[in-house]
Amino acid sequence: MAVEEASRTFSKKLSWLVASEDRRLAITILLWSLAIAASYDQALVQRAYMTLFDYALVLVICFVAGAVIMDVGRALLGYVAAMAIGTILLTVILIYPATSNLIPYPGNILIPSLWITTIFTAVFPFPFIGYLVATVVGATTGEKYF
Amino acid sequence: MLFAKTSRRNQLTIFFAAATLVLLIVAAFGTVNYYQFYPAISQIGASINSLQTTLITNSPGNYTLQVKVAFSINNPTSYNGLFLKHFESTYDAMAIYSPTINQTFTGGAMAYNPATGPLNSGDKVGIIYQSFNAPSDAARAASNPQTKIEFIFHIDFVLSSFLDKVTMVIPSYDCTGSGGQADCGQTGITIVTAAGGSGGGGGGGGGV
Repeated sequence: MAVEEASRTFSKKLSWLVASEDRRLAITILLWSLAIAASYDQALVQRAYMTLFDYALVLVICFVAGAVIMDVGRALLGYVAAMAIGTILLTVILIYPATSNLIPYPGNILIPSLWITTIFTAVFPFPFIGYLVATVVGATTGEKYF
Repeated sequence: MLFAKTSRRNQLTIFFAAATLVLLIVAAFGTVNYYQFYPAISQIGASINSLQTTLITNSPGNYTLQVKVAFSINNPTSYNGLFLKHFESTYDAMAIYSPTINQTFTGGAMAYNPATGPLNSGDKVGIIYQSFNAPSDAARAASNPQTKIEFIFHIDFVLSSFLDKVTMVIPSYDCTGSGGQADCGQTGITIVTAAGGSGGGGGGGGGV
């Protein structure tokens, strides 16, 4: 009984969250950017580069996000927003501890610039294009099958 | 049961949210460890575990000062993922004749020591130099019982870390001792970008 009640409440909340397309897009972009940032973050803090598995993981994320949005135009818009938010979030997470006074000058300047270079090369150009394609394919699949 | 009644699109949204949550948890573990990285490289400890000197008289006026030294490198922080890759040291010997008069003799580079080992949280790596001869001038000065001989070791080592692909971290220390144990003070951290990397070196400063 209690489980039934809880799942009904959850269903209501979910319905409210995705009640309009704009709301659904906003939620998806939020999840999407967090997922991209988390995928890159777990890879870069372990080995400072992305493996094929990590790239594949982000491709799947973009495909699923595109399928949830179910509209190619909105999906493209969402992709640009999610990538921008995700990359900014990732940069802040990685650079913040390096800017503390634990690393003396000029190391405290060098490490953040190394991270920016690492993130940039891990995102551009081919992964960015690949994710874009995955998003479009996901949105097309979503339009067709959901 | 209710999940089955939910539209496929909403099911996919729930799946997406759940997958994001899992990814966030995985990333959080790595990030917490990463946030310990910078404190760790500045707090990696070095010390002289033992320093023994033996003055050998070869012939009247001809002395050899044999030195045996053992260093230890330890990680007192909670960071896991460091590895001591390459250790090197130079040294000087200082003869202290009186509180105001002293003389420094350059010892130069010490022999290559192949010691390596993991430096995870709480780990300690020992580096032992079996025996080497101090400069002959230092040996001569040591032959005077009134003279105290102090050794200043300038050590640095390469710390292998998750950043190996883009940079090399080399902390430097100065260790001063005349016998027994002594702590070393960090004099700087050199950061060298990997070959094909994007920029020059850096570091230095700080220290105890």
